[in-house]
Amino acid sequence: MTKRERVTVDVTELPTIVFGSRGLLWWGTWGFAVAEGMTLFLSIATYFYLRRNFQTYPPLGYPQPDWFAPTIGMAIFLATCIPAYMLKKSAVRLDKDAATRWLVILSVCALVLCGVRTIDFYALRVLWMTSAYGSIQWVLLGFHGSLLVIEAAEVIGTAVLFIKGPVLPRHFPDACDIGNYWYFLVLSWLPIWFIVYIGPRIW
Amino acid sequence: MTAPPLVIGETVPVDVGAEREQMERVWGSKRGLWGWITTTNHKEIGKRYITTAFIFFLLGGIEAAMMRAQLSRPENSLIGPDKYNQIFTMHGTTMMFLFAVPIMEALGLYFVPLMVGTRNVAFPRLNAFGYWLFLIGGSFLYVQFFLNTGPDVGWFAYVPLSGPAFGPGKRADTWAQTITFTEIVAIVGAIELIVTVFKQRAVGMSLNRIPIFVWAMLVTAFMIMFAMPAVATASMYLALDRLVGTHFFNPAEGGDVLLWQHMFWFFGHPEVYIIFLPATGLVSTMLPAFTRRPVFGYPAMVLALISVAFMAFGLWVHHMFATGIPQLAASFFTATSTMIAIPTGVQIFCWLATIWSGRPRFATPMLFIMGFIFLFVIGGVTGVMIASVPFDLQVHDTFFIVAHFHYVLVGGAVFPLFGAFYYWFPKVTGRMLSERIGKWNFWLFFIGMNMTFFPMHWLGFYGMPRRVYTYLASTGWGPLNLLSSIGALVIASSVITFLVNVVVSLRGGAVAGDNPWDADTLEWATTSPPPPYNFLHLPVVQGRSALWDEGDERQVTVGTSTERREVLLTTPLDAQPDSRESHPHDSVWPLAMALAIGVLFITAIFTPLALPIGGALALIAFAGWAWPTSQDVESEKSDEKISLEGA
Repeated sequence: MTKRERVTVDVTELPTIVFGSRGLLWWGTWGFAVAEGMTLFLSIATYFYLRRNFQTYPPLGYPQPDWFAPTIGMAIFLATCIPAYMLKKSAVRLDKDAATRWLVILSVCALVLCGVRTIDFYALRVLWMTSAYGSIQWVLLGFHGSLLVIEAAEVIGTAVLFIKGPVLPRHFPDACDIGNYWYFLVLSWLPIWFIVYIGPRIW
Repeated sequence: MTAPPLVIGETVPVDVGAEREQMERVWGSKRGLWGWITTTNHKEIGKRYITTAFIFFLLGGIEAAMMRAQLSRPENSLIGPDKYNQIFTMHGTTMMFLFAVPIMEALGLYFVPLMVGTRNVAFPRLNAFGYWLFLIGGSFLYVQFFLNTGPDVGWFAYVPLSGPAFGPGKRADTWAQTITFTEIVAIVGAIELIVTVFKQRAVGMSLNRIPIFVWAMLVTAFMIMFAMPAVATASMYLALDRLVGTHFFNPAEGGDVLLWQHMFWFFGHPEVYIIFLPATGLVSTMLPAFTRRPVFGYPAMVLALISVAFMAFGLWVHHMFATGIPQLAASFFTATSTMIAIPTGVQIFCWLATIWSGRPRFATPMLFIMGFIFLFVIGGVTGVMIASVPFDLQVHDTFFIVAHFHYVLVGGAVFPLFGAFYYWFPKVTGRMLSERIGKWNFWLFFIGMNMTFFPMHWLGFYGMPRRVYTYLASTGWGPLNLLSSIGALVIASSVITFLVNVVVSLRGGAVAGDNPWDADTLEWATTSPPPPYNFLHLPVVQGRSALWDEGDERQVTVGTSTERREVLLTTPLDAQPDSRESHPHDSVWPLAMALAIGVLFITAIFTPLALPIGGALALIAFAGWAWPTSQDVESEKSDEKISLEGA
């Protein structure tokens, strides 16, 4: 030690478990959400860029995408915000049983939505290799779908941890951030659903 | 016996050996190979990153030397056209994706935690994962190159050349997947840096007190978050066009080749600043130590960094003036391209004012800083020239452009980087680099740089296009090319001089001590090299020049655990103490995850089975990563203090 040191700050009494933007994970979660959101934004920009290459939309010879089933799927997606919200609330209460229950429910929702996404692909009524129109429709769904699958793995993994594993105090803020990310997943699906299924009827 | 805890107002005793031993036990990694592959210490990872990126720099340099050898005389037959295409593609891809961006981020990952006074980066396992993925991605590119499957479509891989119609085989796929690897690595590093800077600064280091290098890394990290997704998305479109038959870039089916250029340059131009801004941060942080005064115009410097970052996203189309874009758009992008010279000029004038009003000492890092200012101004001025459409159309795709961007990137980034090597080598290794050899290193580099790249301006004016493997003697380009090639030899001798300096100094360089330059930033407050926990007692910052403003006595923080890995979190703006958070242990799972992702990306080029196989492996790695170990349970069994405020 080359310099004399004097203690001026004592942090012994500070909390060791915090929620929201006070913790590191919250920042990390939103950091990834921003980067992924940018990817989705650029895919949407690609959609409109390629749109200029077609005089009619969908291009001649392609049927309109089916809007009904994806809209039901959209409603289900929106409804899953409720278990996500309840998960956050129970995590903040440090209520392990309730958090476990909502994690299981959210896991089931995630699996259902993965199934719904399969129907969404069928509803496009175009294949990715037929034209640039088909390519971008598939990629918009695929990008968001890959985020959904990864998040489903995280939700299910966390549910298993809460059921089987040693649940540590720091896992409660983690569960809370799962709820935050879920909101991002739902909110980012809204414009994609609109552009892919409703858009071709408008522009 | 454990010493009683220190209390506020108390002076830390001189003998803190027992406390140091305890911290070594908690923060140190295991010895041997297992410890080496499982470590999550930011300094160990940072050193590997820097070393690996520097090896890629050497490889890229060898490729440059081969190109210069081929072009040294007309109608040379040393390298054929196919190999030449691969070599210039490898050179650009290596220097941009495997050297320049990674080494700047690596410097950030090593020094930002030290400069902000914390013990590690925010997500240490993610940091380890990023390094391993970088190593796998870079190695993949070179394995493919040595198997004659290296990319041959230029570092920007324009379609349709790189598309399925004109790019058969796996060469362009190799390029596209390498990009995917490096973009994930860059984004992961950016998130770590942002969170570390916002949440882990030392008490008292409010945002208006952080070192300018930290500001530069913060701004760069945000740029990475918005720029890298563009090239990641574009390279994925390219891979899909090539592998599964999508039509993003196929005009016959409604695709668009210019879409590639827009996507690529929306990333590619910010990329220049992603490389350059950290370099300016290095200069601004080194300069006070060699002028004996704080950097002139700190607020102007920070605002310049931020405004450059914003403007950098608004001028990508100046790379596309030759594609026939509408005149109004061309005028707009000319204006924005010229405008970015203003904040850059602010930085240059602030550096000049710092030197002018200080007491400059021309040690080797300072020589590199002076070289940087000289060379970068040349590169900047030619940049303003080619922002003008009529001029750009004359020199587009000629050697003038090669000259311009090498002045910007070598002068603007590699020179500060070499200065930084000399400046921080003592902190990393505990030994000084030789000043005598360092001066040789600098002058050879400076002379070689100008010999190599200045003649290229004329070659461009004389009409020599880029990316040609040879030319006829009747063009008259021979003498200037020969001069340029001799310059490349001088640069190579300079780099060899540097390597000799490193080897000699590691063996017998002067012992550095904690703060050999009497510098003002926090990394110099700890030993050289720093211990695994960085600071025994976390510092309390009282001014912008942390070490110069503290006087004879350093104020410190106590109360973070010595029984487990724990970091102090502070508020984002004012850096007031907010909470203590437990920190992950070392783990092999980041390596496992990188291997799984590596399998996924590499095999995806060859078979769709990559998705289920790679996905399953990644799932296993994810479970191992997240599942609490007995060590985790042990370290959290003590009563946690839970705060719901802000939940």
